[in-house]
Amino acid sequence: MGSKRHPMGELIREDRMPHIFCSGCGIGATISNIAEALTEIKKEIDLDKVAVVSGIGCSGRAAGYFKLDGFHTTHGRPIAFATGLKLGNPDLKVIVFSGDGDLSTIGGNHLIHAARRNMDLTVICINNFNYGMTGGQMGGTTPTRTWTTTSVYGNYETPFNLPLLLYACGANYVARWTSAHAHYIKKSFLEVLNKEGFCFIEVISACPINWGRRNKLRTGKDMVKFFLEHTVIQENPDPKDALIQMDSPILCGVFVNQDKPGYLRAMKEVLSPKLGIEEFRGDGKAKLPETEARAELKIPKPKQIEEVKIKMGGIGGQGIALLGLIMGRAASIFDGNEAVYTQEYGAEARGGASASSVIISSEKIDFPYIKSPDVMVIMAQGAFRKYRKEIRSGSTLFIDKDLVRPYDLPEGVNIYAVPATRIAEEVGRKLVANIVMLGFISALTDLFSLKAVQSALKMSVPKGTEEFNLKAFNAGYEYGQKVKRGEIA
Amino acid sequence: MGKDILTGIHFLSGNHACVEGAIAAGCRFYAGYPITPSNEVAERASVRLPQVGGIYIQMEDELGSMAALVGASWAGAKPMTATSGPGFSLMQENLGLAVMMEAPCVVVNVQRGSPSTGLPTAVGQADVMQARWGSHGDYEVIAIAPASPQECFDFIIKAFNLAERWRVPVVFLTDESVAHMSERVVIPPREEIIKRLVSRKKPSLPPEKFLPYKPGQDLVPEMPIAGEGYRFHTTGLTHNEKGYPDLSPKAQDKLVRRLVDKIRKNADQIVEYEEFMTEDAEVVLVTFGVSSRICRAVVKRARKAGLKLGMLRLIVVWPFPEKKIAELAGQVKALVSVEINLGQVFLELERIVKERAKVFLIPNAGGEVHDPDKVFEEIKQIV
Repeated sequence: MGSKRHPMGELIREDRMPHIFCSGCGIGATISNIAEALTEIKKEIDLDKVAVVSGIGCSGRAAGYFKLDGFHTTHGRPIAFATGLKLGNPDLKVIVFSGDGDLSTIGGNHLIHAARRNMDLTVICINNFNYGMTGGQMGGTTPTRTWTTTSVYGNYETPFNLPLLLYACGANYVARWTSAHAHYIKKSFLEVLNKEGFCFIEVISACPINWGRRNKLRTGKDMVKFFLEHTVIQENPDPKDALIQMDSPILCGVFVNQDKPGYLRAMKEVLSPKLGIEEFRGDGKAKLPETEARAELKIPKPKQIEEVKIKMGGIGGQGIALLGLIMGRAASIFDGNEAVYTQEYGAEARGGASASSVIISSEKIDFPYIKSPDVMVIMAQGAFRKYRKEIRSGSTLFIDKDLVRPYDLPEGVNIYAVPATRIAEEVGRKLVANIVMLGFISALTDLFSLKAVQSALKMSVPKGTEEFNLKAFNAGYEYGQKVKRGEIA
Repeated sequence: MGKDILTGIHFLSGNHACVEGAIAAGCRFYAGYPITPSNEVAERASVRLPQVGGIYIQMEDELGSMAALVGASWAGAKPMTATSGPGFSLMQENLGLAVMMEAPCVVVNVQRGSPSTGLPTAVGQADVMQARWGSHGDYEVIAIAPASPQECFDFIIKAFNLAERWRVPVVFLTDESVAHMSERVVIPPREEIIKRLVSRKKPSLPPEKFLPYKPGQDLVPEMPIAGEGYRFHTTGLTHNEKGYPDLSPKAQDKLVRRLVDKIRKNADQIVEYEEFMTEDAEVVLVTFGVSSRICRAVVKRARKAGLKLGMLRLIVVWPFPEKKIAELAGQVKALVSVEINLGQVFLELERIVKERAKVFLIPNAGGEVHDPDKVFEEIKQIV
């Protein structure tokens, strides 16, 4: 009462006054409009839950003047920053207040994607046609045939039509006013503060010092007069007509006002029914249903095994990766041994030969790759061609007998052959040839215990197919037993 | 509780283990952009985070991913992203913002062959210097290098703890090899993990008395989060204790010195390494990440051959274990840097060791890990 406080002291950081804005600049006025609007509704909302995010530039200083949680971020990134803030704590109302260069030029990618996602943000975009903070250079919103410090012959580029851009990207709300339209700015802001989705208010703003004086509008008064004389406010204006040209009026109004689900609602609509969770947020405060914890923590005592290096090769679709993964799981989870599993990556692996490797040992494995395999498993002729040279004397080779014809092998390679694909077809699906091969290898080696490999198999195949896969495994295992007993060559 | 800590015995890739470790550490926010060889981190995060009520958002690029992390950090999240060389370069801008605003976050960089697009699917370790000073200006961050999927799980918890404790971005400096290998990963019981977790210091004063950038004895300020009534301001500009811009040389000196000192002066509490057979070693291999696996094999082999070889494995790569290196320099004949680059940790060794011992480099431009046979041959020459 009677004190010399700033009239909006509750919302403006008085200890930061005077502000940096030039005389006649429209940014301060727009900040005031927003502060007034928030003051009007302060009883209806919790101002502690309102945050302002800005980027770099004159308008970027706004976050420093509001007495709210305020974030002055990097050039072009306030929308991305605000996205993290909002999803971190969806209870916040997040307002992005920044300039045209920041939001639509350097930050254009974030702008269009946040609009596309309908991210739940309110964006106030001050458009003063130039980079004011750095001295008045042209940018992506500078009108054609106007002058700036980097377009001294006249700008020959075409600026963004921001309402049309935002309309095309799918924002829920798109409006344009000028800094001379205080009433409309406040009205628009209050309209969108409780609206979900991406809400964008463009404010064409006076910049007499850096833009106006190079374009025959020397003072703030000149610019306000220009705006009032050269704007047309329409009901439901068409965003296609919103390109700013100096020889035609600036079209203002609410271009888009729709109620598509905002990002958070759209996310919940998909996730909640699938996961039984009602709330998703980054700060860890979401309520979750209680579930029982798994607690199998006993690692079996390793059975003694010297380091064995197994390499598997086939063609894409044969499940070579899965074969290796099951072996790794069998050895490390169920037999208590050490196992490292790797896959061969690289562009040449696509569609052609693919390989995976497993090393098993009762000791810790240091070097995770295989230079010279002890066991080679080959499921396709192409893979044989590719990996043949790695097969050395004294090693063991497992092949699909119908698909691989070995040649030029060194002396002393132990070959075991199984018609894995044919057996898989007999079992019911060609797809499980890798599992038949796994059964076959299990019968002829002691790389892992039978129980371990069966347990690993069950956990590695799609739910509901366990029995079918076990059948394929057993078919391969039996064939291996017969080979072992000498019943099959 | 939900399915947050998957106590049990698993067989996981390094990339998948990163996600399980992060969730166990309390991470509920992931923003990222796909890039090989880090994609499995994003893919698992997109499955697992919604299951624990968290957020997975695929951003439009790495600039935005990193900015979103800083925003989420101020909302009270423990945020994470994962990327590789080209994406890590784009993240440097807002990694600098995280440094300046002191926003805890974890950035997984799965190193691949580089520079530029380099070798997208093959290993590299050449981002060591970028991890330290990839963004502009004087600053310090923390970088941790795992060597196995189990360490991806264990060390990423460490990474979140360090980020929260010191209010810095922590770079999880993994590599394509560790990322794509699968091994047994034991996830301990919930109580055991919860005991290990560290959270940022919260304001101890009410809003009217609170200064968001007034440091404690440890040089770390208490951190308010958005929405709790502190109505604080934070900026990438040089700022005073109030968080307001102050562009004077004096404020610059005070702030930048503190940001650097909070890590340098507390390095003893942050530095972590493993010594393997160094007690009587005459030559010590200095290494990190996947290369430490190759070096361990070489040390074992050298010992069998009667060579007094040992290994110092950097777990925390930045800050650098200067004291330990200086101590070793006084004890051994030579230190040998083994890294998948053309000499980055090597430069630090030269700087610290000076003339006290010989410093060698066994370089590797990337694409594959060192061949243990070749390293052993070179070591024989050196010894």
